[in-house]
Amino acid sequence: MNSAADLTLHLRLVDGDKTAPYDCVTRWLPELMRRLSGSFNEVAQRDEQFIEEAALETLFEYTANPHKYDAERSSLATYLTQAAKRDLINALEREKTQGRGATSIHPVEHQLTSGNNSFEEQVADNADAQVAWEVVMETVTDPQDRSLLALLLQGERATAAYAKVLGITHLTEQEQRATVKRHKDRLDKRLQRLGETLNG
Amino acid sequence: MADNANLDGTLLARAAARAASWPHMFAWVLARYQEINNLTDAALCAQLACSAHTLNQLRLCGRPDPDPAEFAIDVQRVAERVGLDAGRLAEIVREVDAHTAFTGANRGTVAPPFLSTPGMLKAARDREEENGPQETGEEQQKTDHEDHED
Repeated sequence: MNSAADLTLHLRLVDGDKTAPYDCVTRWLPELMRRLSGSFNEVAQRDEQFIEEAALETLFEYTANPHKYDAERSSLATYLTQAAKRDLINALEREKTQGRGATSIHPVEHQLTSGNNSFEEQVADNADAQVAWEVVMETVTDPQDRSLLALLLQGERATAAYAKVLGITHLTEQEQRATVKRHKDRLDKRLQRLGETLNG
Repeated sequence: MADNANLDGTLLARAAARAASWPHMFAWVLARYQEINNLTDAALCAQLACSAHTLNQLRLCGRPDPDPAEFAIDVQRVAERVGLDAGRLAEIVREVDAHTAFTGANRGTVAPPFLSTPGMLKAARDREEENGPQETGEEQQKTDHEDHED
């Protein structure tokens, strides 16, 4: 489920919190490996290292470029799972090209195109993302906060962009930075509390 | 560290090892640092006064932003999270950045972003003056030739 906690973690990543990559790996690595192993049973039984490497590749790519994820389009779980499947297929293709393995890529392709997640799972993921987003929107009602949130989700790092939304462009650069940081921290804490509440 | 506790030590270690090839990760910085100083994991743990588990947690954090406005905040946040000394972590990152700037400048490669950090290039130059030229005459000629071609 794309819970508010997952969304908060994503925002921490986008906001440049350097402890967030660790949390992402611990949060998502076991789940991605489980999902990949479920979808690529044969590969998992033959060499689980492929599964692990694909999941890690996906997570490091995600932590390097978190703004590529669009929270309104799909759940983070779906986004990461699809990316990990692509990475796994690429790894298997490379293995095949280099002649180190004998596994045919076709069953894997079939698994991907025929839907590795069940239809119900995909619908549930998308619905969860929508629900989580709606809950966040219900909680964050202030238009200014919503604009700040939108900037965070777009991966905006420039203080000037946030300063413009906050209407503090007349302040010195240092004052702007401090004010922006205060607002980001406040928003972050609010989302964290929301995540804790939703996760019970 | 407030651990999510859902990664066993072996998986954590493998993830940390893979992270070393990603420049945005702390693992990348630590790998360069170990290479420069010829340090084993055990020696690095001794320097940082931490366990191998904590070292791997550190490796999976992001590397501090080279922007001076963010650097101290990032280092402090990571240090607090893994329970290590912020000053020591900052020294490690700065040493690696200075070394990278120094070697990059000598090779005539594109300047890395951290050269915008005040004093970083100066530190690299100071080190160059202190240690003397690192390249052989032949390598220097090669660099000069490449520069000339550009």
